[in-house]
Amino acid sequence: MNPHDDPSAAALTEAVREFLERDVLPATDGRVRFHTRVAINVLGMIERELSLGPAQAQAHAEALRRLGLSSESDLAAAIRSGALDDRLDEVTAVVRETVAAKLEVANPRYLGDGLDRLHTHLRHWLGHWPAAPGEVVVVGSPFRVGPGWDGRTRPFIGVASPEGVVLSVPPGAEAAVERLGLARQRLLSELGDGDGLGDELARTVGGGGGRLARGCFRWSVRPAELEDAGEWLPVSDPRVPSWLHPFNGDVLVAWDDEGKYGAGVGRKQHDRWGHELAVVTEEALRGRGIARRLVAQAARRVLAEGAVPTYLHDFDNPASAHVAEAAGFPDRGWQFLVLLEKRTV
Amino acid sequence: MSAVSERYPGYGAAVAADDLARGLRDVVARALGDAAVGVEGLRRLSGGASRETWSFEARRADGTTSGLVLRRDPPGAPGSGMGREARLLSAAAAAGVPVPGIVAAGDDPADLGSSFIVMERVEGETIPRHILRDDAFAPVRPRLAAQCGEALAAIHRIPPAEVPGLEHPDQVEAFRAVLDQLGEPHPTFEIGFRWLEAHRVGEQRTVVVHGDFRNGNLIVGRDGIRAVLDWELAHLGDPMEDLGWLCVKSWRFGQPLPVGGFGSYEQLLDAYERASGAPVDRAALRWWETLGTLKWGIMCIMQAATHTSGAVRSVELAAIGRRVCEVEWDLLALVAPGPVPVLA
Repeated sequence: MNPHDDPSAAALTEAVREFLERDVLPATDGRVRFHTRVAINVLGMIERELSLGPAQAQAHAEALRRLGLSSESDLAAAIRSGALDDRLDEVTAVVRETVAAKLEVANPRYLGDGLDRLHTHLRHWLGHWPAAPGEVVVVGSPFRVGPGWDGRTRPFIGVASPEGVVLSVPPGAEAAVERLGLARQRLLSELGDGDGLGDELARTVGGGGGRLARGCFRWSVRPAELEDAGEWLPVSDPRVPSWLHPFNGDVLVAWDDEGKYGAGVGRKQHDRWGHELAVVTEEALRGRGIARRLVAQAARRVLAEGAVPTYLHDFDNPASAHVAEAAGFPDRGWQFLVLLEKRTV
Repeated sequence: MSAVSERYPGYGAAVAADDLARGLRDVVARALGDAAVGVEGLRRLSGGASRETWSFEARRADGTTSGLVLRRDPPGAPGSGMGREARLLSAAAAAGVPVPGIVAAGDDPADLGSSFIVMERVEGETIPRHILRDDAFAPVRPRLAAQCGEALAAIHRIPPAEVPGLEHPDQVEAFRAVLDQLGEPHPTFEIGFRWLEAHRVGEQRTVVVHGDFRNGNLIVGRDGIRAVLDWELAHLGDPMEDLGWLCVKSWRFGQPLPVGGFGSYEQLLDAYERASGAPVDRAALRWWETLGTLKWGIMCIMQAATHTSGAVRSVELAAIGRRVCEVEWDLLALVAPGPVPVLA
């Protein structure tokens, strides 16, 4: 255990940064002023590294292990020698992720604004984005055979904007999926949701039976300016209900009038750039505008962390659509398509 | 690596340099043929680890003054060929490149402690932030990319025979060697090198390449580009190297326009093609922009190493080490924009 007293290293760094910003910067000019600016930036970097570094180091080691390597030098050498040429897409994804992690500490603004992030997220998550107007792209992505945000594999997902459609499938399954005729449909809405196509698709991408589910795909770069309604808690907190346990990172919880759990938001961190929000409100808090405030609050955190918040819901869920709309997630005519396990009812 | 320090204001630290002032007075007196000339207001402009730049006034016997600039190697450093740079500046002027006029040059350490050039001071702005944002430059900004194209075409007209001794290195090999020597392997750069190897473009022409032609090394006045500075990296090579380097994202300083933050590819290429009569291969330009991006990433590592090695302790140089990832991000966008669609 760390034997040191408060303040923590992060809090001390913050104190020094604030001193430079408040007292030193206004009192200096020329070269010293410029170097004070540099020093302020460097301290911000240290603060971010203290908070994000440990998780980044773990994720990086895990990514290298998946490639059978143990260091950046090994990876550099393997790329140069061509030893990993048969896994080049995977290698590039790991490298991109590593560089993004470095930027998250060194200069998060470089990762781009919300719209850039959305494109980067979809390019990363699906394997390709955007599709040209009227185009349906079937793309193989290693992420369709690896674990998703909750550890489960989703062998088929798709996103359609009013311009074009990208369908993401396991590498090697592109041609077979194409033969199903999916790609001839200009819009996802023209696809049948029937179990027949789901079964066929499930067999093609490697699985048992399945059903295709469609819904509204929303995202926001400017959440509604609503007051905070909840408190961020680690999932390990005993007050967090079990439905929030599978989500990534802290969860957002609102309390009812008796101080008990009343509503919550979880984040599905599909990748570094796209975090999908899920909200549930208990009976006691319904009709009070809590859900929209929670979603807007969560969206602000996602944006502050360098990602873009997305929000998915079934077309036949007007309550959810209403919450999204009010929280600053307009319906832009975007859709998602996913292959789910067959209902066993 | 003086490049970064020259990009920022506030480096004009006054330095008492009596010995230098005395030597400089003798050099200028000989050059101007005025034994009574005086050197005034000598001050250091940049604190780079490679070359020193000093500004001063020469006051003649009749009371008239001229603003001059001294560039010299750090005393004691192995001569880096200021004589060669002087020949380059003369040849560039003859080819129609805007450059400062040379007053004196020499490689004899007995004069100023190391090899040097004294040149006329050209009034104007070199700091990219000012050139890109100040209202005073708003009218001239739309013309800068075309002027860059014309200046580059003039540089590429310099007859190589007039500047003997220029090297002709393979840029990929040269920078791979530099990276290996630094001992800081970066997977992104290896991906970049692999892409460069796989997409190599043949050298269409072999010309004198400036080697560091970019926003920051140009003196810009209200009328446009007045002088092209910093010729120390000049060598023989493909003319597209200079055009690609000018388009590297770092030289846009956060502005959206691809050429130095002030212009479009079309403006640059139209002017270059008109002035040189040589068509530009867009794929080749892209290749050289990619090489330039990789090169700048390696140069950032070099700058941080200047600090960590103890050669020059500076929070600014230290911080540059953490900007390498910005260049890596740019490089990935150029060479690996994402998996290729299976179905078009």
